[in-house]
Amino acid sequence: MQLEYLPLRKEKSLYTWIGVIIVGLTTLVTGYISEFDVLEAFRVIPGVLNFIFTDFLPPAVKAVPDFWGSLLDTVYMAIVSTVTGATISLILALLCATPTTPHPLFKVTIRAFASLLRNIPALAWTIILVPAFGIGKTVGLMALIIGSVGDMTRFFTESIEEIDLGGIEAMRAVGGSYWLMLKGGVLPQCVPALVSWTLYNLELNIRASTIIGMVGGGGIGFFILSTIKLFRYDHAAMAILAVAIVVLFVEFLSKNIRERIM
Amino acid sequence: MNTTGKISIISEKQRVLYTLLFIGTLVLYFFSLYQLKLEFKGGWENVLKALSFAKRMLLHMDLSDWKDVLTAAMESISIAVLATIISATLAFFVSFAAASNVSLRVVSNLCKAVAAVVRAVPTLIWTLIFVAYLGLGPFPGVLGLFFHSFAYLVKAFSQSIEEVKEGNIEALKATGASWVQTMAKGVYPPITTAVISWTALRFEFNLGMSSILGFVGAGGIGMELSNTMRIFDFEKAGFVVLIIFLMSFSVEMLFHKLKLNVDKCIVKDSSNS
Repeated sequence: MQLEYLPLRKEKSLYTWIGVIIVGLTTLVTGYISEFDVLEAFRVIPGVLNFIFTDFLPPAVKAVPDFWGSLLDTVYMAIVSTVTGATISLILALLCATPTTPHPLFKVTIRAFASLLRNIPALAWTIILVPAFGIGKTVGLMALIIGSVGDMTRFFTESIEEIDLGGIEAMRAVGGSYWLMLKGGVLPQCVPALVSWTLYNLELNIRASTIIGMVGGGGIGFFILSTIKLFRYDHAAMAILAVAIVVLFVEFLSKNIRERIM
Repeated sequence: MNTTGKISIISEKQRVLYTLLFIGTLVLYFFSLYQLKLEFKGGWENVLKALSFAKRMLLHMDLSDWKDVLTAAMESISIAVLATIISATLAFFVSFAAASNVSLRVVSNLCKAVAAVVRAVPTLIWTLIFVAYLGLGPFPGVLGLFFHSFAYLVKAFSQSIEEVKEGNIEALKATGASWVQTMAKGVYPPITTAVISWTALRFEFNLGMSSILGFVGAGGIGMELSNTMRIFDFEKAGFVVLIIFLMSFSVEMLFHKLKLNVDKCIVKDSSNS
């Protein structure tokens, strides 16, 4: 056994070294392009910590009424975009996934469409849509829905394609209709995965909707950006803290629901 | 069909749970929608406007600034790669301290709590804080991305370590192996795949992020997009959007080809991001 083991190990360590060298070179090249200075990074640590702890903390509790409305808007936007996105994605995914697609042509088109939507970040969608629709919640919501549809269509399609096809075949064999097949064969198998993906998307959307306001999409992002620009860091800190609490709460909720259904 | 002969596909408990979830979602949805008080000023006119802008972006794309745009794109990619490499390397070592099965309870809890707080603040807000302190440029962008990625990967990696079978660790300890030896031979090999997948997943995310960092002044292609859109230069913006799309799309295709099944890690663990 020893004899068989040793040569393999040598080969493996060669690969490891090649990997390390490639990663090292990439670090140097990308560091050069992005003007990243390691020494500078270490040098700024005390300053940054000092900046965060003295300028940002303690957060100004009196700022809460100023952003309370936009914080709620942020949460509402995340909920609405996730549910709307999930509904649209479910329809698209059923049309696109191999076991349920009515025609292969749908598959290619929807895949390409979803890929286009998700590979442009939601924040970029906001910037693109603002000139036509103006600044505000409507644009932010549209951008969030676009991103959600792009992500969830892909996830949903993959979940539907992973199901066991035996049951569906049996239903087809006894003459079950397309709807019956969906209701009795496809959905019961993949609903836990779909709900789980939707909750994951809600976590993503709550983050995205907090920053979407920075480019004119409504919500708390605008408050954070403008207070930082006005050097009212303690006000910004309170808003950031509120965002963190909301994010942690949503994560906690999502985790609990997921554990129950899986 | 005889209804009495029906076999329920899901259990009664699950049926109740799903019904509650469904009704709760609907109520929450319409309440939120009502509270948002959306306005559709302009209505169809805006849609037509959007279509005409889209036409200008796509059909009359202006490639004359390709040099600047591609340089900015390179900067974005570099920011994403660099932030991913640094955060993955550091997170790999720290995750051993954060995993409850191989570390002290106090240390593990402390690491996890700090990571959770850092993760709860979105990447772009971290970047904004760094920009406020360090000024404009790619440097605060790298730091902002690094900060969030690091916390994210510490959590992801330590979760993978915690899934390592207790037997592996115990067997090595029984032979008298030191802590470092146990980690290197008992814990590291089974988590390698997960570490690579998580890093790949995070890289995809970081690349998307690096293309929008420019909106808050942290360098990269986002700056080009917001500059061109600000002066309604849709012809040039179209090209920038195309490059942003291609950056993210090619990485997605590459990972798909390499079979780095990054999505799988997300559903497997019940909590993430």
